[in-house]
Amino acid sequence: MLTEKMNNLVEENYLQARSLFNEAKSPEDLYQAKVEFLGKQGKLTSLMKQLSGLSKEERPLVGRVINEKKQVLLDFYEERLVSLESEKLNETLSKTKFNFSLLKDAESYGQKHPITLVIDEMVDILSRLGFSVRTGPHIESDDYNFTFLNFPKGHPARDMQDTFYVDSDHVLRTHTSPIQIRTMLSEKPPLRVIAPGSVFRSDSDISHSPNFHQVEGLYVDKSVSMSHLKGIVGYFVKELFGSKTKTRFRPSFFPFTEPSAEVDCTCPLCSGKGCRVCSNSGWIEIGGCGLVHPNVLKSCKIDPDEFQGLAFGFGAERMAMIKYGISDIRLFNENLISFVEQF
Amino acid sequence: MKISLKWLEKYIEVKDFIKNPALLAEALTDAGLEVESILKQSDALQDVVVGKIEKLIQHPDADRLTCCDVSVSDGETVKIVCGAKNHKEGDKVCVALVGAVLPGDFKIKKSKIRGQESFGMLCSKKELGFAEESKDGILILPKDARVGQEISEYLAKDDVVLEINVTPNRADCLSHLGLAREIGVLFKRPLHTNHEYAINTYKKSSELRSIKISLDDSEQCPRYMGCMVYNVKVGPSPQWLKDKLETLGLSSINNVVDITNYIMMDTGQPLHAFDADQIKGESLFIRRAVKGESFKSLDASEYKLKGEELVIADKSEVLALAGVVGGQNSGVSEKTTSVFLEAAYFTPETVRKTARSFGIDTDSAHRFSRGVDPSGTDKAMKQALFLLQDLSSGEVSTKVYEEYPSPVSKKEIFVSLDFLEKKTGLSLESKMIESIFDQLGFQMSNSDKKNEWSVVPSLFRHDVSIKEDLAEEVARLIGYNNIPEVLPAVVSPPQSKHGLYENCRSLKTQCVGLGFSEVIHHNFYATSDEKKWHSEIKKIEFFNRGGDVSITNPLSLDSSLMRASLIPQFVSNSLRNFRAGRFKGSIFEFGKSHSKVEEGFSEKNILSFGSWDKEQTQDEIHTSLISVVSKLFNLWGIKNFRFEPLDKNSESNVLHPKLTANIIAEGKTIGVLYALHPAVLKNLKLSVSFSGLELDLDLFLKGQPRPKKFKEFSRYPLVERDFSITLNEDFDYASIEKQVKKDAKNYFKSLSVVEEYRDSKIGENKVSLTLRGLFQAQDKTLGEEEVKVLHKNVLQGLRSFEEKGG
Repeated sequence: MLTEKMNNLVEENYLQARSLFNEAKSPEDLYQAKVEFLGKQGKLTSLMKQLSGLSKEERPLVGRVINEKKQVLLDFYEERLVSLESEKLNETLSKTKFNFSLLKDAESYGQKHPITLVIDEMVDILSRLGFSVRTGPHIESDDYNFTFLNFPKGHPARDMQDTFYVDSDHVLRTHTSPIQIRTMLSEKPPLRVIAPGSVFRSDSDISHSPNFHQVEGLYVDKSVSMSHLKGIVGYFVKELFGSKTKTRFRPSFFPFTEPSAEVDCTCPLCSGKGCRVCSNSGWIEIGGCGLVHPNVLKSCKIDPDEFQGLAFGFGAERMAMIKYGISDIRLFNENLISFVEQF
Repeated sequence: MKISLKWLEKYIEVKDFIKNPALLAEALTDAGLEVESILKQSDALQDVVVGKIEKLIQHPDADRLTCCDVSVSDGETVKIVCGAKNHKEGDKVCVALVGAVLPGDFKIKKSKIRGQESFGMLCSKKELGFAEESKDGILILPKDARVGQEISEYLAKDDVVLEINVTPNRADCLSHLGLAREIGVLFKRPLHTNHEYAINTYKKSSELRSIKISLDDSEQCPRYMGCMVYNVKVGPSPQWLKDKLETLGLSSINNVVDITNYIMMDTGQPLHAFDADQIKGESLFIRRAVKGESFKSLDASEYKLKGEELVIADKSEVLALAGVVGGQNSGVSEKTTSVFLEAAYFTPETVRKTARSFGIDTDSAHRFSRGVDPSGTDKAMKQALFLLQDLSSGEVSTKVYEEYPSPVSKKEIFVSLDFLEKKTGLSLESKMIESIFDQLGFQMSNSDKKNEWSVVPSLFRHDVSIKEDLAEEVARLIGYNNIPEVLPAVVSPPQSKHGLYENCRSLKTQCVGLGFSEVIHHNFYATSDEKKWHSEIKKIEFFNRGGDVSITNPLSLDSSLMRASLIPQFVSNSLRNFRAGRFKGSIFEFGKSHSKVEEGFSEKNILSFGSWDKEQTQDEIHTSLISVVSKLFNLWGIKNFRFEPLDKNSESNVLHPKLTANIIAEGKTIGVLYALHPAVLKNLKLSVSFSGLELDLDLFLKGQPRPKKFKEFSRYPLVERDFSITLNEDFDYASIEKQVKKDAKNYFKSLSVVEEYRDSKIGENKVSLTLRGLFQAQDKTLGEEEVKVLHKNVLQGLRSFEEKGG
């Protein structure tokens, strides 16, 4: 009798708990319900304490029923909890909003100067051919800037470069070529060097800067020909301006090379079709080059019968102007952030 | 150098090129004579016609302008406003109609000048491209010119003029003869040089005055010729001569001077005509100047001679600087009746030296200093005498003096087929080489060795003297574009890398990541302000590395000083950026600091940062720059560094006296953190906070990149504890951190300030700090008790600070 009453009580509590679990709207409500029935003082738990009123034989039977029901409820609780939590998450997610259109601020990052970008790119290209960087001072002796490069004192070739002087024997280097001299004097051939740097000419207008940058390559080895010069310069130009770019060599004159050439490439802006930048010729002048003059090798204590060299030089500003379509060289020195940040 | 194709016809067949000059231009450019422009006169003068000024009235609103009614064809009259002064009613003039494009890409458009409409332009010689300058106003044509006729047709302007950039080595191409010769080589065309110049020598000349030549320095003047021309009538040149010179942009002066200019442009040989009556005595001396001698040139400039110059002088004074410029004392004028004509070969070295030391650049000096043809002296002389006889009714003396003691010759060059192949990278044949030398007119014979020649280049080719020069000639005539592109097979070992370049490259990338944009300024300042700031900044020890370095021949006075610090340019830059609407910006630059030291010139590598912001306080921007320093130093493994405020003695009025500090790293001053002096900002009317930082890059990068070594790290939980203390404003954070480190023993991880609080309630000049300490054990999780003890110890240490006041 008592057993039956107990069993009914268990069943009643069980059903109540189940319906409460079902009705719970949140994990918190559910937890409350769980405590109410299954907690230490819970209704179902406290039925266990009433077992003492039962006979020895009945106790385990009813106890088992209670435990079974508790287990079923616990399982059901877990099931409900998962479903309530996922409902809650879904609700949070459905409320979460983010306005992607507002992501506009890129100011926290700076940018390198376009001259640096171009110089680094040129260095990288020649590095792939095994060239190493060399540098030198801005203030050079007249000897290193001119005489050793086969510009005798008073030679009209010196007039090709408007020179800044700091005293009677020292100039602001007019080209990066003195680095050739420094390298040949301090290192043993074979040599493969690339010399980027600041150079100076007393000339200033929309296409001339009194302080611009050159990148110069020097290659000295036992057998060096015009054909190698064309090979290296051709590769360099293709890497810099694109694989379809063609180069053209024209005879020219530089005291430190013989033979000498000026290099044109097909205008990268119009692919050689002709545009404003290339004055409709399809070609654009990019630099000078040649085989190192034997007098230069001799002044650096290198025997021209054993070693020959080739050298080539490009203006970094000019390269950047072509590459990025910049028409006024003064922008590079004006250094407005609105300019620099574009590259 | 301007070259007239019609003039070239004197020496070579170029009719085809007059029709199609682009073909010639391309060939010349490919041969190293870069054609910079092609001017077809008939094209250039399209829509320029003969006009007649029918009516001329003063412009109602401008004193200097006139309004003209100009008839330009039958029944058509246009209104033109003109600023010239030399025109009057009835004049025939050159009218550029609307739509004409004059040389220099000058487009004629309909316009309104001071309220008056104008439908064209009355042209001067300069505007038509016939002269470099025009002093005489607009060109007035003869009365018989037919109204409406195209100017090019009327003036027979059907020439084509090439502007050629002749490199200094190719002086032989600075004349029409020379260029004809080059075209002959390139196109294998014959050269016509057998012109007849019949001279009727003046029979009575032996009775007249003669001048002897005394050549004292045949080393600098290997060849000198001179001849008297009597009864010269100096006057205007005939039209054909004027036209020839005009085509090249030269102004006509008088027949004698024009003849010497014509011969120079024709043959490349500069000549000089002396007024013979001004030569005192019986002889002309070609000698070195005596130190201190004075000389006044044709344009009345005075020179004190240094004693090395080669001069032409009579018995009492210098009459000309040899090959450079003639003297005022002996120049040809309208009064001249007899002329002593000089044709000489002065060596390039002597003319260069003189021209350079006095800074004189004449057409004559230009040619002599690059090298004229020593074998052409007599031919030029003969042609000039012929023209003087013909155009100035001069009578040529029977006696042509010549001093040519040892004829100039060229050394033979030995060159082998193998060498030429090695240099060009082409495979060549003997026959081909021989035909090229032949084409060039070089004398050539086989040497003793097989496939080797002995070559003697022409005298006028001053640029060919070694075998490499011959390699260039071969490559040039085969065509550079026919040489294949071949990458050399590299077998030699690579050279060492360039540490500074590599390190700077990484640094630049980091700077960019820290939000800074790179700038690259000139190595000299640009404004007087920058120069002023420079000398102020040098009062601070760190920036004073030596004396100033100045350019002796700067573009302007303001840009004469080489920079010693990047700060002056950073100030200008921020101002420039600010005015361009950048109210907030961060920049950095890698540059050099120039100074003069005992051993010579010193160049130090420096790295500068600058930040400005309109919204931030000076303190905030200073603090954020300090965090940049910390980040950079951490990245490069520099652990111990601190800021040391400048002492009073080294203050400047450019940098902020309180916010400027030396950066001491590992015991050395390696940089300066600064803010601008408020007075500077005020003067610039710049209402912005600016902070900067300049590092000695050589010191910063010493030993970089530093070797990296792994250190064991803790994987146990961090404990976080906050501490509040009140200190004097001038507390030293480093010693607080040191104390905490000491008290926390091995458990110290880091300490930071999370809050600063100031209030009069806590006292004047006091600040309340909330410090956050992070603690961690290397080998275990810290227990509750241990943390309690730790907290107590740290707090105790901090309290002692509080008692001391910080």
